[in-house]
Amino acid sequence: MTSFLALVKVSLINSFGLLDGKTKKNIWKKIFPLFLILAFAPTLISVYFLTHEALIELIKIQQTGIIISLLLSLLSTLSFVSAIFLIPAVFYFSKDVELLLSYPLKPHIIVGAKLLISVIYEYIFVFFAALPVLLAYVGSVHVEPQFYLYLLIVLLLLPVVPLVISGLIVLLVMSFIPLAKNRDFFNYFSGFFALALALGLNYAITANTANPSVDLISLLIQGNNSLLNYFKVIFPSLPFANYALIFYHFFDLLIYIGITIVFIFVYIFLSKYFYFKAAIGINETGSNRKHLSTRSFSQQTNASKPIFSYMIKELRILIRTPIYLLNNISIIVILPIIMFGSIFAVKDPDIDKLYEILRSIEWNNPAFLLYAVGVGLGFGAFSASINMITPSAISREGSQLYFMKYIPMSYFKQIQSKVFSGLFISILGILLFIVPMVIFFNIGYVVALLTLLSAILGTILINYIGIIVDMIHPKLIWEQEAAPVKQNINIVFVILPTIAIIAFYFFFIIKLPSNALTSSLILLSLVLIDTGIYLLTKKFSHIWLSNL
Amino acid sequence: MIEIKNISKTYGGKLKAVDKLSLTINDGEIVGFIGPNGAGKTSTIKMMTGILNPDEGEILLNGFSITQDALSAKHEFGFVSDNPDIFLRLKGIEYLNFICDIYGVSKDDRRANIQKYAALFEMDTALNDKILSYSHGMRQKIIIIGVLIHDPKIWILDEPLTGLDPQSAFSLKEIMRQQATNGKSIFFSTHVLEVAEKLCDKVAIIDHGKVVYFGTLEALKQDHPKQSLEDIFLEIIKND
Repeated sequence: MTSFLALVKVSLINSFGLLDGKTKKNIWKKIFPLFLILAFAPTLISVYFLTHEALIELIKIQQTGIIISLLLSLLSTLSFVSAIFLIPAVFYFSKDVELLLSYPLKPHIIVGAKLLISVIYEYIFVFFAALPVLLAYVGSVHVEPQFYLYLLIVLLLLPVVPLVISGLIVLLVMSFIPLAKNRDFFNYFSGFFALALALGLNYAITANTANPSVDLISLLIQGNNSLLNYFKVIFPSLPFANYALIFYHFFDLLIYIGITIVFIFVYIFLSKYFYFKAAIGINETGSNRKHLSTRSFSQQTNASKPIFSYMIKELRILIRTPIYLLNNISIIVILPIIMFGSIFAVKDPDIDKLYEILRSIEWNNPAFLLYAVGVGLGFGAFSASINMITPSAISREGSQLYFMKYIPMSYFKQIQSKVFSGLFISILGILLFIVPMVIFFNIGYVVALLTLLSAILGTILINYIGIIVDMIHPKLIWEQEAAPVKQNINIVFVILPTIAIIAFYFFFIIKLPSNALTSSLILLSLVLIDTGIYLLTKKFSHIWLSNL
Repeated sequence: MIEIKNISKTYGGKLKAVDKLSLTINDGEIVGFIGPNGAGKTSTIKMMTGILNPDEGEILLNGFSITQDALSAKHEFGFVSDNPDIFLRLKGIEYLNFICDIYGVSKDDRRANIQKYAALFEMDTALNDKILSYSHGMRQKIIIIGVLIHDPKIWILDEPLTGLDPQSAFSLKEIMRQQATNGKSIFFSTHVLEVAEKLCDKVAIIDHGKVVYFGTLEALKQDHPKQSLEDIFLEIIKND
């Protein structure tokens, strides 16, 4: 037991920096949780009020239990999906298995500790997601005192079963599919699987909004919490948790605990035979070890300008690092698909009318010019700030930053290459929005070009703001490639000025008359601001980078 | 030629990593930089390459100041870091071609050099694979090839032999000797005294940020007769 606890403690320190109270945190790290709370507060408050409203209706038809059932099902599903990423990271790709095996630790200690670490990871969002719903529930529905004790037990054990189910799937995949042992391949695969799942769900929800499930309605009419049966199939322990919380059945709580313990034992037992064999010899990436053909060698050894070569290097790293591809690039491609997919998925006469109206508009009318500039600016700023490429361009270098300092290429040129890589992806994102709009909504070319021009000018500005923020405040100390992108406060320092700039311009766009002159003036001001920020970067990039 | 003049570096206002250090490495010389862990070797190398700025003093690389005329100075040297985990998502060939673009190596020269050195270090079958798939030694080799292909006049290497197999270590030592014969200055840090003994024209022993000995090994041995190099090294460090 001592070694189990020691292992869990070390892993926690390593993963979260927890239990490490002596380390001084800088001001940004201290206020980061505050930013997170502020960012999520509107969503959490909305969920609270939505649940509250739903409960008022559900009390009338004696279906309040559906809220608990839905919550537990949702949390279990979320745990299951997130575990598809979490289990490989904790169990297979954490690089510590071979080291742990050299210590006098029994296999079940290692597996148990890793399972507990995974459960602790899951608690973070389980409690976040559950909080507003449960507050609304206990505020609207009369609950007995034992509810709180049962709730604590249920929530503490809730992530275990989904984690184990996901863990068993990963165990099978890792043991019997050799390609899965390639970390890059696995990350690409699981990332795009999750994206496809999200897109599919989005499409299905949008397409079916007008036709709610008949089954669901009939179950609601039956009353007396009969809806509980609707969700029990996937996670066998859930119905018992539901009954324990809704009807205070102590026996059901015991069965729930029992099933959870059985899952833990099954996982530890099977891991003994399959896990270690699969976990040893994990590859970071695939390799061929073949001679380059003469043709391929010639193609890959062509000379280029340093600034272009540097930009290609940046883009290659962005595309080939699964976490960067998923976070920095795929979002640019996915968002237009979601937007246009959602529009085209809906079979609503109102939407068809909207198409007709859009297609009948005289787009080249000067009344639209200024608005085109505004929309373009919005697209450009959004596309640049969402991809996080320049605000993490220095941070992503991490311990390799020294390379930037010893090569015979000026800091400014290197920064330009990084900005160009951000611009390349941002402009791709802009085109993915504008081109379909031109095609499907028959938007005039003048308006489209004006939108594109303004979007490019906007995206240049935000990309430069991003790189300046990252030069001044980079996150250079990290171990996981995800950290400079996903745990980087720089996004806040980019989004705040972006919002200010957009608000500033929208004020004038609303106030000014829309014509060629005002549109040109707005565009000219953007050109001037872009030139200014370019010159600022040129002047100070050497100073900012020398200080790192 | 490398001229290090009275450089100092202090971290956090307290820890003096390098303290008024001066060295001159002439053309055609191989100088080994030896010292215990934390003696200031890596800090010195970082200042020589422009990674760190010295608090005081000056470093000239073939006459170009690394602080005042950084770009010209950086064109003069090739650098092998002690950490070869760099650009892991690029293929070996892409990394080498990128380096050639940065240093302005012509198309013909780069093709000839890449083929020559990849064969020498037995990396020709790995060039089309990502560096991430390489072992530590292979990563070290691709970095060394990256220096060789742009043919610098000065070599600065931080623990270059760590992780290399005997054949590759031998090849690297041969190349260093050959480069010195061609008039180039080689400056490298090492923990391995035998390497310094066999390869270096001079050694610089550093401890607590100061050079405690700089000269030929022969002179050092004459000053400490009947003692092994290891004993001499330990004695010098102890007396400091």
